[in-house]
Amino acid sequence: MLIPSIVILDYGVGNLHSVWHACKQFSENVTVISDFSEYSPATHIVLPGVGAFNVAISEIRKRRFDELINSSIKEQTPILGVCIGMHVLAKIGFENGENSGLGIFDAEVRHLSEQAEIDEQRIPHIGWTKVETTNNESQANNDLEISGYFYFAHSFGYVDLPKPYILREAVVGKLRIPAVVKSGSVTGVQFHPEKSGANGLRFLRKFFETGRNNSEQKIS
Amino acid sequence: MEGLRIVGDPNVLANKYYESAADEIVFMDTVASLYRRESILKIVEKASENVFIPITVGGGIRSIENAKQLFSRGADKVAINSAAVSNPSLITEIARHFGSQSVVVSIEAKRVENGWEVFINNGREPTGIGVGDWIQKLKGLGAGELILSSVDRDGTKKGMDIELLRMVRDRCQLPIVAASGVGSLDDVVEVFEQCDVEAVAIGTALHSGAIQIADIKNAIQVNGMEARYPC
Repeated sequence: MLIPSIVILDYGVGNLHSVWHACKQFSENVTVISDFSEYSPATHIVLPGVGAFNVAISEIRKRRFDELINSSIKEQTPILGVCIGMHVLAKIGFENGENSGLGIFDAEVRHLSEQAEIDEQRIPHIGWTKVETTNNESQANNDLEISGYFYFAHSFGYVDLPKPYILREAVVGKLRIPAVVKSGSVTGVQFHPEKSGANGLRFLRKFFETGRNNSEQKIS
Repeated sequence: MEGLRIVGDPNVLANKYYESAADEIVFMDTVASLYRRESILKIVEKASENVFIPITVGGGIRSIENAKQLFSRGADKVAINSAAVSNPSLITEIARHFGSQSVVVSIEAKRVENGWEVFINNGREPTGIGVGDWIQKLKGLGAGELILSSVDRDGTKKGMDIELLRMVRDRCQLPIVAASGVGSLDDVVEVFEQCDVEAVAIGTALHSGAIQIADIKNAIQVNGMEARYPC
C-alpha cells in the first residue's frame, strides 16, 4: 500500500484551501510549502491555481520552485499543475505582458479570444464542460481516468502544443481547449479537479496512485 | 428578523446538495450587515472541507479585503450587490486581483411601472436605477457572471420572472444564473427553454423538499437539454 506524501506549492496565488482538502482525501501526509528550503522529499507535487501568469511565475522563481520542479522532473516525481499551475509549465505566457514560463511544455499561453472568432464577452470560460478524448492512442492517455464533466474557470489557455502531449480537450463553441496535457511525469489540467465533484476526485486518486516510473499502487 | 425562516444548518444542506449532484453552492448571507462577518467565513471554511464543487458567497461584501478573506477560506467566487451599486469600481478591483471568473454581480430586480428597478440590501432598499441601465453600466467592468434575482418572486415558488430574464439576456453576454421563484420541475424547464440562461439557482423549493436535484436534472434531459447527470 502506497501512502502518497503530497507537497502543495504555495506561490501566493490560488485556492490552496480547496486543493489541500481535496488532497487530504487521499493522504494524511499533505504539506504546503512556500519556499524550496521547506521541501522534504515527497511522492507527488501539486501546483495549484487561481491567479495571473506573471504574478505566479515571478513568485515561483522567487521561492526557487523552478529549481525544485526541474530536479523533481529528473527524479520522475509526478507533478500536477492545475489551471495557472499548468500555465506556468508552458514556454511562454501572455497574461499581463510577455513572460517566460518553465518551458516544460512547448506551448504558449494566450487569451482565449485570440484563438477563435468568438464573442469576447463569453470569456471567461466558466462552468462544467465535458472533456473529449483526443486522437491520441498513447498508453498515458488510456491510463487516465478522465471522462465526463469537469469544472473550468479561465480566460487563458494553451496554444501550439504538439498534439502527442494533449490527452483531453474541452470543446467550447469554436474553441478546442487543451484540458489535460502530459509530458513524462508532468501532468497539467486546465480544469479544477478540486472543484469537479466525483470526477475530479477520481482523477486525483488516479494521479496519486501513480508513482515514480509510472508504477501503480492502490490507495486504500 | 421579519420574513426570514430558519430552514437548516447551511453546512448540512451544502453537503446534502453536493452529494445529490448540485453543480454549485451559493451561500447568500442575507443578514450580513447586521451580524459579524465571522459566521459566514466559518461556514465557507467548513464547506470547502468536503464540498468539491464551486462555492459562491454573497452578502455584505464591501471591500477587496472582504473578498480576499472569503477566497482564503475556500470561496471560489464572491457575489456583490449593494457595494457594486454604490462603488462599481469594486468589481474591477476584485477582477484585477483575482480574475473575472471570481466576481459575480448579483442583481435584485423588482417590477415597477415601466420595467424593473435595482434593489439593494436583500430587496429592502430601492436605488432608482433601472435594471436595463445597470446592465449597460456593468459592461467592461470585469464581472464574470450575473446572478439575477426577482424581489417579487423570491421565496414564492410561483415560477421565475421570465420577462425579466429575457430582457437581461437580450442586453448582456455574461453568463446568467437565474434565481427566485422556482417551485416545480416545470418552472426549471420553462426557464431553460425560454431564456437561454446558463444556470438556475434554487433555494426555497429545495430546502422545503418540494423538488429534488436528481428530478430537476432528469426533467432537463427529458426535455432534450444538457445536464450534468449522472456526474
